[in-house]
Amino acid sequence: MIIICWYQSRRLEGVRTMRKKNNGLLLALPQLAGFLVFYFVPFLITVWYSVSFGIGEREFVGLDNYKELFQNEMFLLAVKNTIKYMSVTVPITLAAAMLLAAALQNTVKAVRFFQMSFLYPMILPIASVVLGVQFLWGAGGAWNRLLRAVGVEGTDWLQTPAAFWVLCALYFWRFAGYYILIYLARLQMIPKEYYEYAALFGANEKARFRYITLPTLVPTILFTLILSVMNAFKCYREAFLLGGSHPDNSIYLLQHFMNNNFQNLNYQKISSAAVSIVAALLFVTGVICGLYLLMKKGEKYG
Amino acid sequence: MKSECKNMTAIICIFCLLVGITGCKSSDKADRESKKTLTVIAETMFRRTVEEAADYMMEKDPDMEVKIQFLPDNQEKRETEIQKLRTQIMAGDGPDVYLLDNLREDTTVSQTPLFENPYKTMQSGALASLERYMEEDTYWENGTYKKEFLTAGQYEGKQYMIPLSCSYEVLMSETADIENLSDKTLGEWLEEAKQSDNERLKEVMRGRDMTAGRWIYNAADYEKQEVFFDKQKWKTFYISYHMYRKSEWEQYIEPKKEGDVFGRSDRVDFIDDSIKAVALIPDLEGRRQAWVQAFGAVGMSCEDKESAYQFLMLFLNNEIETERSKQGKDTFVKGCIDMEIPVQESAIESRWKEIGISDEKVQIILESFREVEGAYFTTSVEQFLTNSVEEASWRCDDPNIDLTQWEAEASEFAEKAWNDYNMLVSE
Repeated sequence: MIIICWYQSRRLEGVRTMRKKNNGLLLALPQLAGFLVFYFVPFLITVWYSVSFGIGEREFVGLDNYKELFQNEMFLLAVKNTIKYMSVTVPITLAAAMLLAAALQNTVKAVRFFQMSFLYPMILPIASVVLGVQFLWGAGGAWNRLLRAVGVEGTDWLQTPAAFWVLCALYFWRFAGYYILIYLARLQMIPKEYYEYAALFGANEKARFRYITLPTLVPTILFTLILSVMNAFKCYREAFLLGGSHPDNSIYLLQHFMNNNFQNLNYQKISSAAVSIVAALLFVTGVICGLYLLMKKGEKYG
Repeated sequence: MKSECKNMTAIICIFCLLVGITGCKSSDKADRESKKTLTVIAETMFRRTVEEAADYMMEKDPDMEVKIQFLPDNQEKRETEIQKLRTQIMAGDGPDVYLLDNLREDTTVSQTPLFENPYKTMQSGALASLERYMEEDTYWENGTYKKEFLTAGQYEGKQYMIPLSCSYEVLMSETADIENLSDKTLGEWLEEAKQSDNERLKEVMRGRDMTAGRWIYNAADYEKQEVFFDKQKWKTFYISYHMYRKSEWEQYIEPKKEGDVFGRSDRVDFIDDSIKAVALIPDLEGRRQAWVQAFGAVGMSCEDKESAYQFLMLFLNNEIETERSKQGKDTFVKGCIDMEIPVQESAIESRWKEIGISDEKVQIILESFREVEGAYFTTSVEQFLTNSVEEASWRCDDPNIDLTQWEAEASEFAEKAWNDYNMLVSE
């Protein structure tokens, strides 16, 4: 009898667990179905396109498209420029935003004015921003007039390697304010008592930033890092409006390569590039996860 | 009960989604099986000829339905349509036959093309190779098509596009003394114009800014990924051209006679009885080429490529003309799809004879046509060069612009053109 009761209770428990599991799956189903239908299946199709040739009638060509892609100097240039652009803009913008936010933390006067002004660059339409950039650095722009006034011949800066730095400056101007606001919001949540207590023990400004501000900001830094990388990837509009579909080599980005090949209907090239980018991102994410796990393990075992 | 209901709803949703995805295709297929359909995408300017060819095709084969979609002339609508078409083509659902106009150098008349760079489209796998059908077609043996033009539509030795009309510029002289120009380069023509009294030659040379993209014909090989654009040669010519234009402008300020033009761009279409000789305008290397204007191709996703090829060939062979004359009717389709210069001698002959040009003049046109060494597709770089030089030419009378400024401008244009060519071939 006891055995039967025990068996019945186990069965019921199993059914409940199964129900729980099914409910979880059911809840996740819309999201999962969306992911499968709109992301995963198209990605698998993209993988197939990347190893085949032709439209309509496709012919398997193995890794030929990849070989061609990695020999394509424009693809390599686009990868190099995109990495260079991200490695310049992301750390500089985030570091400057953090320092400015820390400096503004204790400002009492005109905080509202600063907060509002930080958002202006983001709400301005990109086309008008680019017009402004051309007014400054275009062939007949203010910078060239200034140069001519001192006897130096100007040039169309947006068609020279200087365009890269113009694009970086544009990114900094557009997004630094937004990140400052995020950091400022987090900084204002740090209890003032922490700083007062540290000051009592003789901690100077630098030590307070190093041991109180910075550790508290770590999750926000991670968040802004992701946001910043995403925004850096989305800078194609700016680059396109500044230099068109074939800009100066210094601002030829991955999106230029993808977009131009789309215009030429070269799906195999776009597909192999997309799959390569996903593979590279998975690899980087894997390395970061691995490092994170190693760090955790290190903390656990001292 | 509740969870069962939820499960059912989820299953129904997934089922509907799958039906939605697969259903459209199958109904499409069912329609196609009942009647052969040929989908054609064409420029609106070809409407008359394309519609007539479609009618003929459907008369010839009652089981065949030809559906024509015309690309809108309105720029905004056209761009939207082109974006849609590009997505359809990539999804393997593009049209069967393409009858398109290539990019024109003059941006005021040019419209966004479906294939921005026909050379790159040929490499994409979106178009079907046509040799199989061409080998079986007697037209290519018996016809008068200028075979040199076919090279423009080839990639890796396979024919993907067929040029249907072309354009080239000539010097039409009222005197027969232009024979000495026939083996000279564009630079030498300019030197000749400086010393010559031939007003036509002077006019043509003054108008070279309108065709600056053609100072070097066929400046890149997209298959071998090579750029032939000689920056130095182009720069030198740019400066001497502007010097010439400036000196001509100073003499020209008072127009000599009514209707006189400062710069002329000659086309054989404008031939009249006063013309005694015609010479093809060369490029800086001395080559004499035409540029492809209208062209046709068959989509890779086409299920009946043979019919698509036959439809395409109706704009070159005389099938419709012969059939219609048997019925005692006239036709618009006479070996050419548009009003540009045909790519075959027979069509040139009938076109100019029809408008009442004398046999002697038609022979002059044919001679110039025979001199054309080949054809190529114009790209955005040629368009950029023409626009930039044309814009700069308006400043030729500005006394504040000196030689150093022309030199700086020439370097800037040449450098950008070379870089753009390099990007296009490497992409």
